[in-house]
This record gives sequence, C-alpha cells and structure tokens, in this order.
Amino acid sequence: MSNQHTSTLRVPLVSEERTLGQLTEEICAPMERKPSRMWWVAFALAVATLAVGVGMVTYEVSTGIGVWGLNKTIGWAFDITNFVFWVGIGHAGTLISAILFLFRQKWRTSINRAAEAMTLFAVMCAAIFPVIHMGRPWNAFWVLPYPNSRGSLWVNFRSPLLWDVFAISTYFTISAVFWYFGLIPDLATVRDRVKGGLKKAVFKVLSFGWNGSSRTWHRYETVYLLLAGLATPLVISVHTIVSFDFATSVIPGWHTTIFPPYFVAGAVFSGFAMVLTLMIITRVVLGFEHLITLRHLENMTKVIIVTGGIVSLAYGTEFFIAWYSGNPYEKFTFMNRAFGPYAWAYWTMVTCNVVSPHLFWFKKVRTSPAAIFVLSLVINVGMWFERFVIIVTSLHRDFLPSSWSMYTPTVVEVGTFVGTFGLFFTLFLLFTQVLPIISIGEVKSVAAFARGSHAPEHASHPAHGSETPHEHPAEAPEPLPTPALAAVAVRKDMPV
Amino acid sequence: MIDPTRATLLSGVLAALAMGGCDTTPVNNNQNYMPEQPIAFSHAVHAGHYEIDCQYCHVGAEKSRHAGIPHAGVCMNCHTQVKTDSPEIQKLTQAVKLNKPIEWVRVHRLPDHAYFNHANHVTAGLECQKCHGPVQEMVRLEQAEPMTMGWCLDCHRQTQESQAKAPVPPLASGVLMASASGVPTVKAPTTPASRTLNPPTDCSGCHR
Amino acid sequence: MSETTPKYWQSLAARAGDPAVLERSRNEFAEELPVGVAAQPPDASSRRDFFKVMGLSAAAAMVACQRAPVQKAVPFLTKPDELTPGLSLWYASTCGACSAQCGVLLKTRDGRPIKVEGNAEHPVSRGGVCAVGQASVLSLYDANRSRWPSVGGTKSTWASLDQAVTEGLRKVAEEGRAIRLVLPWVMGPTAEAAVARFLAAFPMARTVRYDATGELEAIAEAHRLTHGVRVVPDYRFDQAKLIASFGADFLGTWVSPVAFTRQYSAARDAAGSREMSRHWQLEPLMTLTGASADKRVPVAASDLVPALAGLVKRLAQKAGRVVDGLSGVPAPRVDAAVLDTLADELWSAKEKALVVCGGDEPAAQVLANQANELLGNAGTTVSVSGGITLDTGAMTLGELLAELEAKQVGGVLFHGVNPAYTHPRGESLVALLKDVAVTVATSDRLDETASLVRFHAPDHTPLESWGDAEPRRGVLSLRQPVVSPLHETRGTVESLLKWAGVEQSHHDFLRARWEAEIFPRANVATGFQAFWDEAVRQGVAVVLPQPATTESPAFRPESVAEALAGTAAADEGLELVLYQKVGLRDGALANNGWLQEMPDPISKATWGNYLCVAPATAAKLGISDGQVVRVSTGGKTLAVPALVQPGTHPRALGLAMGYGRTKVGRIGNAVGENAFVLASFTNGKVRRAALGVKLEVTPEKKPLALSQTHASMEGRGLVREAELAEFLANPRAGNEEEGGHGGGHPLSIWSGHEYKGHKWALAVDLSACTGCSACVVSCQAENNIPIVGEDEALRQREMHWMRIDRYYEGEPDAPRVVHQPMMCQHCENAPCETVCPVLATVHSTEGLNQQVYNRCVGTRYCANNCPTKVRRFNWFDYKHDEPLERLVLNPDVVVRTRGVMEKCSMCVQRIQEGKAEAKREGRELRGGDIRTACQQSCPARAIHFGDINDPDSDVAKLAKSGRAYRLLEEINIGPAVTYLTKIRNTGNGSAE
Repeated sequence: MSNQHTSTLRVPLVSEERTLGQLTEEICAPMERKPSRMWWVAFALAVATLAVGVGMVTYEVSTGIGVWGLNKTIGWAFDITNFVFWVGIGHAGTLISAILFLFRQKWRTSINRAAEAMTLFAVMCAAIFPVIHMGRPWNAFWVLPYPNSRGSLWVNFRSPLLWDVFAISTYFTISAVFWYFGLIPDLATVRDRVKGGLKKAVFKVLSFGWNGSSRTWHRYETVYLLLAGLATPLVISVHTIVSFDFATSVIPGWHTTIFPPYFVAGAVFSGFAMVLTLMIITRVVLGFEHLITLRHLENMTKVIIVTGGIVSLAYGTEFFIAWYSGNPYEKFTFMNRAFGPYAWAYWTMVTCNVVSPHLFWFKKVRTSPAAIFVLSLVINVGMWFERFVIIVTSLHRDFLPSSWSMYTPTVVEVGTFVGTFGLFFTLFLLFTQVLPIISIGEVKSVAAFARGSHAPEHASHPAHGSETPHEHPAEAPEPLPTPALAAVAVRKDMPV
Repeated sequence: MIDPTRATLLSGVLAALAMGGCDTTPVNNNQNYMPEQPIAFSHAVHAGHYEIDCQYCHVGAEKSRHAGIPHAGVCMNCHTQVKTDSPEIQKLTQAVKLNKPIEWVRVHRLPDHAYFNHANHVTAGLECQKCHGPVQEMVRLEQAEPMTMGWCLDCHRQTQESQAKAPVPPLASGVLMASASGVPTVKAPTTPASRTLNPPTDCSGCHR
Repeated sequence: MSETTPKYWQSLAARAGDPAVLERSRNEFAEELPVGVAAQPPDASSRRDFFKVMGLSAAAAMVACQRAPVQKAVPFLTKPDELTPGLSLWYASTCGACSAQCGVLLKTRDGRPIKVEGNAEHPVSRGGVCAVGQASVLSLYDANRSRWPSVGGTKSTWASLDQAVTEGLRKVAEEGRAIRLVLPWVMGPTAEAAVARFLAAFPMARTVRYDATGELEAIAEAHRLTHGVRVVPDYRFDQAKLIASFGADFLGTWVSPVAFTRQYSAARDAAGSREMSRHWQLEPLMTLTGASADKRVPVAASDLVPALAGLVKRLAQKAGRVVDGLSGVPAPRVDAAVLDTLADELWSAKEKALVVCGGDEPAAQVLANQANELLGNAGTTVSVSGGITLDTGAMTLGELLAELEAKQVGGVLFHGVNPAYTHPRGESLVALLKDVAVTVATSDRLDETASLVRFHAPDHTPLESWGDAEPRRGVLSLRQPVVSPLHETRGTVESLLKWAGVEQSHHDFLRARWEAEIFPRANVATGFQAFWDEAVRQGVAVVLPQPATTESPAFRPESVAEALAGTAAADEGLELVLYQKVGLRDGALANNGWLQEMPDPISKATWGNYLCVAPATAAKLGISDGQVVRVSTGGKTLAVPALVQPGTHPRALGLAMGYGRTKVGRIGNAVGENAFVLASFTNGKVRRAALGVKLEVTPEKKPLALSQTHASMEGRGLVREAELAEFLANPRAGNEEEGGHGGGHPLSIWSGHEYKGHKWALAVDLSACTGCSACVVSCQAENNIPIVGEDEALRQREMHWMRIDRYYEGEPDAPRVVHQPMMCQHCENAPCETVCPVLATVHSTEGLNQQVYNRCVGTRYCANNCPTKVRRFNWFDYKHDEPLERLVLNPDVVVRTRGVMEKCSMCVQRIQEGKAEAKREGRELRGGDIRTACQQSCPARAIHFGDINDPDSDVAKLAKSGRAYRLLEEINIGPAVTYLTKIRNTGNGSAE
C-alpha cells in the first residue's frame, strides 16, 4: 500500500514537512501526555449522558414497552429509527478503510483509523435497539438458532429481522477484526516507545509480538488486502438487509424495491457526515490540522454531494412510483407524508438531505471547516428524520382507516436516544486517549518526503517496521527526475 | 503469550454451553423430581400389589383434562376398615375430621401455557405408564419422563407417521361425560368405529 | 338450532326439586367456597382457600406463563359427584342485568361461573345475549359488593337485622304510618307475589315504581290512558314490513333489545327470504337503531310529539276518521314531505306496519298507540294482551317524595332502584330519609341510596339466586343459582317474606308458586316434578297466558285528547337529550370494567360520557372534539367534554346517563359526569329530553378515549353495499370490485397451504350486523382479555381482539353508517407469519393463524405488518390483582404476560374441545358442534363459523354467495374471513 509515489501536482496529504520521527511523536503524543482539561469535561459530559440512557433503558425493561409512546397502530418509532440511524452512521468507517483502500485512495490514510473506530461504536449503539425494543428482551437469545428441547424449535429464516441478526453481527465482527488488524503495527510502535510496566505488558500482548520484519509486513499487507476485500461486500450487504425489514413488508411506504440502494447511499451519506463531525473536532483538539487536512475534508464533502444526490433521486423515485403504480394505498401514503400530520418531519428531512448538500458545490463552503461542521450536523439530523418519516408516517395511516392513529415520543424514548450518543462519545473519547487515532504506518507512506528520496531515514532504524512502511522488498522506489515525468509515471499504477 | 484464536474458540464453546443451559434449566423439565409427600402414600402398594385400577382413584382421567387427585372420600372408602391404626392413615382420618384438605406436593406438572388433556390420551388407549413411568413400582412417586415439548412432539410425530390403529375407546360402555357441556348423555352402549389417531402437531394443539 | 346448543347439566335440575338434596348440594357448595361463606375480605389467605377448593385446574389459568417453584395439589376433601375438575357445567337461567330478562346459559367451571351465553331454546331472546348480559358475570365478582348485612353502616348479622327491621315495621304499622316499597317496574311474577305477601302483611304499605330512564314508565302510563291497563305490549318486529321508530333505540337499549334485534334481522334477511322490512327512524341523536335505519330523519326531541301528531293526522285522513285533541299540538318542524311519504308507506303496509316511540313522554307514546290503532296492527306487530302487565296500583317516586316531605312515611324499602343517584331530586333524599323510622335498601353494594338508609340487606346477584320472569305473556323464564353466594347476602324475595312473617326460602316459595299457579296452565301429562325439572333444565316453560283471555282491551279514543292537553310549542333553542349508552344503560353496572371499556357502537368512545353535538352546531359555536363545555339547565350546570357526532339534529345535544357515580366502586366512581341531575322535575314528573339548555364553551380540553378516530372509509372498498332492488336483480350488486371473492392473484411466491382435514373460516353478514357490540364483550369474557383503563385507552392501547369498525358516508348532518366487525382475518398468506423471527405466529394445518404467546419475544413486527391491525400487544403486565375478580378468568385460555403479542384465535380452545369431544365419542364433527364466542352471543346471527372444506357448512355456502368478498384481495393476503355485502332497503328517494 505504501509503495506508490504521489503526484507532485496533488496537494500533499500531509501539509507540513515532517520527519518520520516527528510524525510518530505527534500521533503518539495524546496517549502519552495526561488528558487535557477539555477532554475531561467532554468525557464527564459523555458519561453523564450515557448514565441517562442507562437509566431510561432500565426503567423501560423493568416496566414494559408501555413507557414508550407506541400504540396498537404504531409498533415501531423511535426504537427502530435510532437503530437504522446508527447502523447508517456505522457505514463510513469500513467504507473509507476498505473500499477507498481497494481504490487506492491515499487520502483515506489519516482518517480511516478513527472512522473504523466510529463504525464499531456506532454499530454497538445500533445493536442496543433491536434488543431493548423487544417486549421480553430477556428472551432475546431465542432469535439465535441453537439446539433446544422444544422438539426442536427453530428460528424463522423468512424473517428479515433474523437476517438482520446475522448481517449486523457479521458486519461488526469483520469491522472489528479489520480495525484491530490495522492497529497491530502501531501497537507495536507504542510498545517500543513505552518504558515498561503494565502498559508495556499490555501493548506487548496486543501487538501479537510484531517485529516489523519485511516478511511480517508482507503478510500483514496481504491479509489487510484480503480483509478489505472481505469487508467491502458487507458494507453493501448490511444496510441492504436492514432495508429489507421494510422492503419485504406489505405496508405502503415500506413495500418498495428501491430501498436497498436507497438505504446504502443514505448510510454512506450520513456516515461521512458523522466522520466529518468527529474529524473536525479531533483535528482541532489534538492539533492534527496538518495530518487531517482540508483536502481530506474536501474529498469527503464531495462524497456527500454524490450520495446526497442519490438520496434525493430516491425520494423522487418513491413519489413517481407511488403515482405511476396507480396503487391507491401507495398514493395516499406518499401524499400523507408530504401533506399529512407529519409533513413537518418530511420537509425537515427534505431541507436537510436534499437542499443542504448542494452548498458543497461552493469551494468556499467545502474548504471552511466551520461550514462543513455545521452542514455535517444538519445532514445527520436530516438522515435521522428520513428514518422517522419512513417508519412512522407509513405505519400511522395504512390500509384500514379505522385504525389510523398518531404517535408522540415520550421522555423515555428521547432519553434512550440521547443515551446512545453518550455511549458513542464515551467510547470515542476513550479511544482518542488509549490508541493512536491515526494510522502511523500508513500516514507516513503519504508524508511529503515519501515522494522524494529519503535513504538515511529507514536505514537508521531497521527494527521499527512501523517507521519504515515504504520499505518493501517487492518494488523499491526510484527517485523520479522531474515532476512532469512523475505525473506520467504515476498514471500506470494509480487512479487519478 | 495468549493465543487469541484459541481464546475465541474457548469463549465460543462456553457461550454455546451457556445457551444450552438456558434451555434445559426451566420449569418444564424436572425429570426425576421425587418430593416428599404429606402422607407416605405408595403407588407400589395400591397400583402394584393390590392392582387397583388407576382410574378408580384418578376418576378425571377419562373424562377431563385433569386426571385429578382423589378426594379423601375415595381413600376412606377402604380405609375406614383397612389399616385404620397406621399413623399415615391417622393423618388422613384427622384431615377428614378437621375438614381440612390434604396438601399433596404436585409431581407431574406442565407449564401453565401448555394444555394437556388426559381424557384425549386415555380414550385414545394410551397407557398411563407411557408418560408416568412404572408408577406401580414407585413407593414414592417420581417424574420419570422429561416432559418437555420435544418429548411430547416426538410421540405425536411418531404416532402420526405410524397412524396406529387405536383400540376402541374404553368408554364405549356409555357414561361419556367429557363433553363441553359436561352432560352425562347416557346412551346405548355403541361401539365407535376404531379410528386412526391423528395427534396434533400444531402449536394450538397445546398452546391457546 | 337446538342440537347446536349445549345441553344443560341435568342432575341438579333433577334433584333441585327435593329440598333435602338441594340443601346438601348447597352445603357442598358452601364447603367448596370458603371465600363465599367467609365473612372477611378475600385477602391472600382466603384466596389460597379458593385455590384449594378448585383442585388441580386452579393453577392453570390464574398465573399463566410464570414459573412456580413447589406447587401444591389440593384435592377436594369430599368432591360433589356432579363436579369434575376441568369440566364445564352449563346451567340454563334468566339474565338479570336489565328488565328484558333474556334466557341465558351459564358456563361454570369448578364451581365458578365464567361465561354467559344465550339460550337458543328461549322463545323470546332466542340465543342472543347483549353486552350487558355478558358482563353481568364480571359483576358477580365485583370486589366492591357488600359482603354482609349492615345496620347504620356497621357490620351486622341477618338475625339481628331481621329482628330490628320487623320490629321497626311493626311499630310503624301500629302508628299507622305509611310503608313504601320503592321497586323497579319489572321484577318477575314470583318476586311480585312476595311483594304482595308483604303488602298483605302490612296494610299501610304501598309500592312505588321507579324507572331511572322513564321509558317503561312512559309506555305503561300511555297504555293506562289508551287501554286502561299498565302494560308493556309485546312488539313483533319480525312481523313488520314497515317500522317507524320515533326515537326508540329498540336495537340498543329500548325495552328488549336482544329479542328485537333477533326479530329485526330475521325480517331483513334479503338473501334468504328475498324481501326485507323497511325501517324509518326519526330521532334527535344518532342511536344504534338509527344507524341501521333505511331512512333516518334527524328530528329535534321537542318535535317528536308534533311529528307523531302530524303522522296520526295523515293516517286518520286515510282511515277516514277524526282524532280529537290534535288541534292543540303545534306544527312539527319536520319536512311535511317526509311525514307524507312515511304515512303513505305505513298505510300501504297497514297491519304489517309498526310505530314505536322512545323516551319518557307518555303523550308521545299515546300518539304511537293511536297510530298503531289506526293501522290496525294489533295482534300482528304489536299485542297489548301478549305484553307484560305492570303494577297498576303503584305510586310514582314524585308522590313518594311529596309524602316524605309531608313526613307521613314511617318505613321505606329500596329494591333494584337507586333514586339518590338516578333521580334529579336524588340529593333531597339525604335530608328526607333522616325522618323515616325504618329505611331499608337491598342493593348489592352501599351505593348512593343504600348509604342513606339504616338497614342494608344486600341482595344476591342474579347468578346466585332463584327467580323467574315473564318476558312475554305465557313465557315463564326460570332463574337458578349457579354458584353458592360469595358473600353473606340474601335474596330480597326471601327478605321480604321474612319481614312479612313468612318463613320460607326463596326456592321453596318459587317452587310452591309454580306448582300452584304455573303448572296447571302448562297442561302437560307428566307430574309437577317432571315439569319442574324440565323447566329448570330448559330455563323456560311456555304455558297458557294468564288470564286465559287474549283479546286486547279496547282503545279509548278520548285518551289522545287527555294526553295531549296542554302541549305547548317549544322554542328554537338548543335542547338537551339524556340518552342511554348501549354499554352502560342507566349506570347500574357502572363498576363493570368490560362495559366501561366497550367502545360505544356509534361514537367509539370508551370510559366516560360527553356532549354529542351536531357538526353544524359545533362549527357555529367553535366546538371541537374534547372541548369542555358547560351545560346549564334548571339551575344545574355540568362541565363535560364535547364530541362532534354526525347525524345529531342541529338543535339537539346528547348526554349519556349512567356516568359520574360516586359510590359504585373503584372502577366506576368519578367516570364521567352524572347527567341525571340535569333532568327536570316539574309537578312530580321527570323529563329527560327536550330540556332547554344554555351552552358555554370553555377554552380547556379533555381528551376523549376514542377507539376509532377516523370515520371515513377514504373510498376504499372495505364495506360494500347494495340497494335491495339492485341485489334482487343481481346478487353481486355492489360487489363487482376486482378480486370480489375466490382465489386472489395467480402469482404468489408462497407455495400455499393444503388442508387435508378442516379449514376453519368465518363469515360476517354486514347486512345483519347492527353493531351492538355483544360480540366484543363476549370475546373479552371468553379470552381473558384485560381491561386496560382510561389512560391506556387514551393512548389507543385497548386490547379487544374483536372490534367493530364504524364508518360514515355522505353528509355529516345525515350520514349513512356502516359497521364492520373486525377480528384476525387468519390470512392464507399471512404477512405476520413471514416476519416473526422466532416463529411465534405460524399457520396451522386447519387454516388458523396461531399466535403462540409463550414463544413471542415481542418485536411487534407482526403487528406493524398486519394490514388489518388486529394484533394487540401487552404493553404492561395487565394485573389481574383483584383476587375476587380474577375468578372470572377462563381456565382454557392463557393469561398473557407483559411483552407478548396477542390476537383473535377463532376461539381455538373451543375448536380443540369440540374436536376432542367428537374424537372421544368416536364420531365425526357435526356442523354447529363448535361455535365461537362472538358467533354464540350475536343476537342478529351475523357471524357464522365453520369448516369451509365441508361443502354443506354455511360458511362454505356463504363464501360462494354473490355477496361474499374478502378484505384487501389486491395484496393477496387471502383472508379466511368472508364479509357479505350490506343490503339497504331505502327504496326510491332514499336518504342520499
């Protein structure tokens, strides 16, 4: 991965000249110094919110689903909305690290680690909801096929909910492995840097005795490539299957064939927005502006424009089909969405997801972290409302008018949702303190000097594989005479 | 250093075991449950040695869902004369004197959400022992079979397959009370045609 | 028919005659039911006692789906030989929930009644039973009933109470002061005989008859004027070709709704008899009856008399006769054309026509009688001689109040009435009764009236006592106790006899009277014993009417003028009408959760009353649903929420009676507002309709617990209709839509199910269904459906497995109404089945969509995916924590726990029992062996259940008929429930 040369025509991915040593220093710094006061404040806040969530869930599980605002007509609302929302967030991580990796998008290197971490935490948050939304969560394990004395009572393989169980657990496992595997070289770096004591012991274990030998590197990269290949289809599959929860039902507004692509695009859309939100904070707080550069942010905004476009198209298509199918129930459902009692939710969604991304067409907006930050939040709000609209407005007025009803959330539901953010940020803040949030090894491969000659560096410490990523037996880099030629030379092995 | 693969493998196995545990512990399987009873009644003596017919005491078995535990009156039919001096029988006579029913400890029990109907099984010619084990040999009553859903279904499925010809229902003599209306429709002893059993395997066969 | 009804348990009947045996069996009961004889509240210990007596079956239903550690199995000490744990016993009896006295069958299990069903062999009610009757079994276990007699509010014993009362009465008698028995109009012949004995013992005693709603009173009074006898005639809606009802809700609350519904639907069976009666309804409020009418004309309450007068005028012209006294009546504010058409149609139907009239206004009743007399329908559609004669010598409550004020009364006994609550001057009794030496009440609880008296002698509930009734001349309906008294109560008949110095038990008195008076009229060859046994077994005996003469007393033409004297024109203002709800009636059973939670058939509101306002009026005054308005009349003011009710006359306001009780119990207290206080009371007469009111709209809102909030069908073909003529021409009229009936789409991704044996199915005749909701309560009783309470109902979480959807069509001022019973459709391709991750809902080999509660983890996905939204979720543990009240639970159905989904099972427990019975008897299942709870209780016989694989079953036939259609064919769910199109007989120039 680290063996290509970067065109000099491109804006460098590491904006300031840094030596490898400096890079290592910088990235490891947060783990080695005491957490800042700001961190403590943030952490306290996060834990407090988490506590609220825990309280709410405890109350709900001990009392009954009745403490939510659901009724005989609307069986899902906040619970599944939040579930889909978080699963969506959980998309960008693996997408950035796996798919962009396969496409050799080098700009991913300084954000993929954090993005993957985000994925894991988001999926954890998501996984809470399918469990607590059950009337009898203590029997949740019944959704797993296991031998039993009921002669023998199996699970229902026709049920999309069961598919979810498999899809999400698989996705989580692979993402976790992928993320951890990418960590190993850096864990080794940390191991080598610490003076001993418990921390050393721990990192010794965690880094699986990594010895940056070229063979290790070779195997590492092969496996990393394979894992990336394995993770990629999952990025597509997991949200496709989540969308089946709705697509395979009979309820007008749910029963739609375009849901899979629609949901995946939406997931990437919201996922990137969330990555942006986090990155913009982190780069400021940890002073990584030169590692997570404007170019990174800009690239991500471009992805958002595209996926935002796909989402908008999906919204349009739904309406077109509702009209074109001539199905009176479909027609009604969509008219009801746009002009019924929940119209406010629908138009919030449209403003956030369809209109706001187009601001990114302006270079000024794309390159202003503040603007990006605000828009990323707006998009996340919009995407939450998308799920709310799909679930609630479809349910509250379906086939028999006699059963039509309305839904309003209770404080317990809101509290639970807020609580998941508490969980998410608690984990993320811990992550920034205990692990290198930027892949040291990979970022070095895109550091400015990596484009020129740098013989002395890697000769100096051969032991530190993590500091000699570019040193690869297969192809040794040759210094290129002129930028122009470089540009030509680059074409053959690198997408432009 | 720890080998993660082995570790995961191990934890996986543990999880599987735990899950199995979840299923085998519940109330619906306490095989070999043999509690002490307020009166040391021996089926071995009554059903075994004296060969008293089960339904002499458990009258409900052929008409009702519940076989029923005989009321003290039934015991006193004999025990006003027989072994009146035995301390165990004394307990019985005391109970009758004090007008205080005897609190037996229930041995065979299904969870409340499972509906078992004795009459259906008895009239289909099923041996009591098939489910209750060799009661005539038990000095203190014991739950012989697991009595789990799987155990019930096995029999139902096998019977369905074998389509065993049932013997003529033992109640051909007439006094059929087990109707929804509970009416003793005393009719001439007819011999119903022997039928092929078709025990339900639908959920609603037992869960209502 | 008769072979389909369960046979009744004979041995009690056989032995009931022999006092000794009966005594013994009573004792046995007593022994079984310590809770009954134990004179202490049923705390934990007495509950345990009860478990004991119930033997093995007890545990099954009480705490379903919970793990119990060591279980005790406690057999009877000595088991009554007729009782086997786990078997149901059925007793034929007579319903005591209202004055209609329908025949019922009571299902008892291990000594406790758990279900009321209709007695198909009863010649009057003919198998139906209404929601109120269904619910009466829950009232038996009402925890707020008095558990012992009390004197001055403190616990006492019967001996001491009897002594005190008899002494008190004797003293009063010696002082020569008046003794008054305040009684309902209808009590049953034997009870009347007991009253007569009492009157004989105390010469200065007289009866006061009172009827909270005033309807029976008005009818009786009118007939006293027109025919010289206080009688409620025998109406025969099945004989009528044309029915004109002036505000009489005869399908819902008027006189004998169940019997009338049966007759009504029999006369409107277009598919069967190829003809159907036409029904006109002129009424101020939208009633259940108005909803079924072919032609419904909103008429202000004050215009009913003028309208009737106008009608009589027209009929008189046609008859070429003159009716005096009509001149004084103001002209009706009703379109003359309406009355002309009505008169024409009535006249062409002649003796096949029937005019009935509701409300508490005798003048209107007199006019109705006059109209019937002109039509000459006596003996065909209405029979005075066949009716029930009411107490001729009775005083009115107004007269009693006057006497009380004059302090002439020495003793008052209240039985079956609650004037302190139901009478507009009720509160004055507080003061008036203080000066009365002996005050007795026999109500089953210390209610508003009983709490004012000195001696409280609590009566049995009808399920605990003997008794009889004569719903039609010559039809003697018998009531027998099906459970030994739960508390230290005593039948009022027995009390009256005792106080009159007659030492005779209720049973003996009843039997003796039957031997002396009924048996001779029965002209049966057998001896009395056999006759009595048969009567008890059947619950009814048909004998020669007494007196034998059947020609009806002559009509007095001058009566009209007398009745109409001084009828003044009402002004143009708003008029309040106090009406009865189908569920709660006059509020006697207000502590019954089933009735409180039963959605009103028209407004779909549960829990509490509200002011019905016409849409136009609401718009004018700026009133919306739930808006609190202050209604003032006669110096009284009530603040109640409003409900915009289509079909209400613009000048009419409706408020239901029976709510706002203060001393009925934990469930019924302070639910809604007491409308009775708004009734007017002028010169001894209570008026409950056409009350001029002032309306004040307040800004505040009180949400209404509506079970259905959207009234329009949105043009979806859910309920299909046809006009009679169209239907006769084309049996598929109104049902031509895509998918009509049969197999759905050719394409399906499912392989489909095959049914080797049975395939259970339902057919619902929308033409017969009146929406009376008897099925809803029947289902609730049969399937242990919890009562969720007002808060949860407000959150739209009622648990009813079966609901009745009500839609309006056409103009909001005069809408057409359709009712659609909605239960689980047991779809062929059930959307719920595919989505459940744990297979908790699956298809059975007999076409049922089974819900397995104990497997359900509660994802609610099935409910979301259910197109008819019939699935109900247990949001909480709906506690059955009142130990007494859970004795009503049906041990054949699991009590669901928190967090699981539930829904209609097509009464699978009955299906299984029916099959098992047939198997055990070694025979094939006969059609009609199995009847679902909703089907059994339906007075209109709108619901049919059966095996659709059996070509001879009526479901199979109906499913093939031209009227058959299934819901949502277009999404190919293939429901097992067939609906039959609604046929209307509006004729030309119909409502729309």
